[in-house]
Amino acid sequence: MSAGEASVAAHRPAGDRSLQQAVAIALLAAALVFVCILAIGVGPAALPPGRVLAILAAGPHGTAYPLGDTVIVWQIRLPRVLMGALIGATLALAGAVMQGLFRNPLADPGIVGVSSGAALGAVAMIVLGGGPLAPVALLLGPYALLVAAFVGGLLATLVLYVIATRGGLTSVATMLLAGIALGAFAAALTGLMIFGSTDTQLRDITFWSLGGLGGLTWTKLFVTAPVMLAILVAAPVLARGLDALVLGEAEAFHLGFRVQRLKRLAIFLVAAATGAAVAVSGSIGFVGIVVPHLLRLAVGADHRFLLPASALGGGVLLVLADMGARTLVAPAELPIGIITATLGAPFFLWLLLQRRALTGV
Amino acid sequence: MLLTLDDVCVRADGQQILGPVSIALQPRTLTAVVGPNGAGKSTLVKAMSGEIHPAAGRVRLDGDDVATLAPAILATRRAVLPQASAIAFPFTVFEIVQLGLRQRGGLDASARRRIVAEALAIVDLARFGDRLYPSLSGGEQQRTQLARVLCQIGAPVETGRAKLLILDEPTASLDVRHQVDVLAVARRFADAGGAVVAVLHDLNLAAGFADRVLLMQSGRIVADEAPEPLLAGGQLADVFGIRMVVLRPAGWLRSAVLPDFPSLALSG
Repeated sequence: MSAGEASVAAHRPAGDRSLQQAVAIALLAAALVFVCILAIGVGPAALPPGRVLAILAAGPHGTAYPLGDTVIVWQIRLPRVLMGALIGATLALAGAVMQGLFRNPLADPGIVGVSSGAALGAVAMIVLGGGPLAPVALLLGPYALLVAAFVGGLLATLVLYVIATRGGLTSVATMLLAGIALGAFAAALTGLMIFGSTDTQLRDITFWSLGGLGGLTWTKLFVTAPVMLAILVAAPVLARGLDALVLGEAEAFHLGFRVQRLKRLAIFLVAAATGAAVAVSGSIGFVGIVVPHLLRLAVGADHRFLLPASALGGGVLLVLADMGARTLVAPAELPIGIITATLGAPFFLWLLLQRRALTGV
Repeated sequence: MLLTLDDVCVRADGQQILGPVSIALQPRTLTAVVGPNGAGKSTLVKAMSGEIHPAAGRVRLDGDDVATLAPAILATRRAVLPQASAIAFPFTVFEIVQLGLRQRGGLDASARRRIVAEALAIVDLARFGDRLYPSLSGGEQQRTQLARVLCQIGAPVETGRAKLLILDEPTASLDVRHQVDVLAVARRFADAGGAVVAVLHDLNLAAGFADRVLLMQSGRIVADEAPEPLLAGGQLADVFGIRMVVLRPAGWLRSAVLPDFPSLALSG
């Protein structure tokens, strides 16, 4: 390469996608705001986006619009849409971090049993919260379900990591199979809990496990949203380390990262994110695998881009899915998990086929 | 001394897999590590890089115990080219190479781009910046990794301190011209004041580029010599278990070594 070419390359080097990535993040942020406003307008009482904006601008006690519209926007739809965006963001982020940790695009909390572990934690808290776990439930108050789901998710992630990773290398087959076993085991224990539950508890469990964002209030939002926001804000700290981990554990160490600490942080974050999402809305699958994968294909795998972009993209996807859940069979409401699974499962199969074509296994 | 190993032993599952080994490496040298499969070459360089901690003995880099240096500090003084590594995500070559700069502060965006472009040019991948790493051939991937390592290590000497470059089978999947190119890069790094340790399978590359060859067998260093005397002695044949022919082509300044195939065919 001549000096002239070198200076041109230094100006705009091929393969540097930081500009496209910055643009993509801006576009995703704009898309998220747009779908949120759209989603607030959609429902039995339809409101055009302009009106939604005006009502939002007028505040929760605004008087320029009919009280009914203000209540619908501020008290019913806004908390639901915000929660949907937060859950989607948290799920997609958990997927992206887990895939980085396992160095594999097929790792997802929903697929490898982490969500099942979190669900087991949540159900255990509902069933045992009045009995053996009463002191814990009392101590944690409104956070009990959240913490229980986190502990369940953490245990599942740890077990999975120990089983699937040997000497810094993760076996994909072992990870997926262990995930299936782990998910089945957690589901069996969950079934056992449900078997032993009282009628009231059963009702609580059913409502919780149907997932969906129906009946979301500001009070519920205030319990979970700070945890999710903290996760979303903390995650980018991991980005540089996850990028190094892409090269391998030894390579990440050679590059100057404390690999054990990095992995512990990533595991904690995946469990916290999955636990928070599951505690609010039950298991919503495939967001964590679809969003990061599409973003990697389209704009790049650099985690400094991927983590925030996944969060934004996950928010967009889940707000849209929730819009579908509310409108497809109106006046009834579909569980949102049905929508994400209907779209996500075929996507996952496509991903597997694509990998088979690529690697021959 | 840049790097010293004092009676270093490494154990795995209760078995001693390396040592005791004592070596001292000086700046401006390229040291080749050769030996049969399983002789402990990779274990030796892993102990040198701080990746595995010895069960006994000490590894010192510029007098500091490698086991107690923070990884981030260590990363500024030594870099490691790993054996072939697969990456499951679609990173571009540019993105992989600039990972080597992530821990280096005090560089603005244009300086980073320039350093990456230079490193890519050095490994003959100047036009590969926008290619996706997983789509490259094994040899191209290895050269991409070398460019990343060169970005990490920077100048061979900085603020009076020489740096160490560890290459674990850097030529394993390269064609013959790029094998020579890569070792020439390593040689220049050493000549400019750094130190290089390279695990090599090709004895001629070792003889052609190294000042010193460590011959390993069963976890120990059984010979530690300049290439010419090592080739002249009979030890290589003993350690590798195959007869060798040493040649001195007319006009060459060094010898070449060939495994003795015909005798193998006859004995087989």
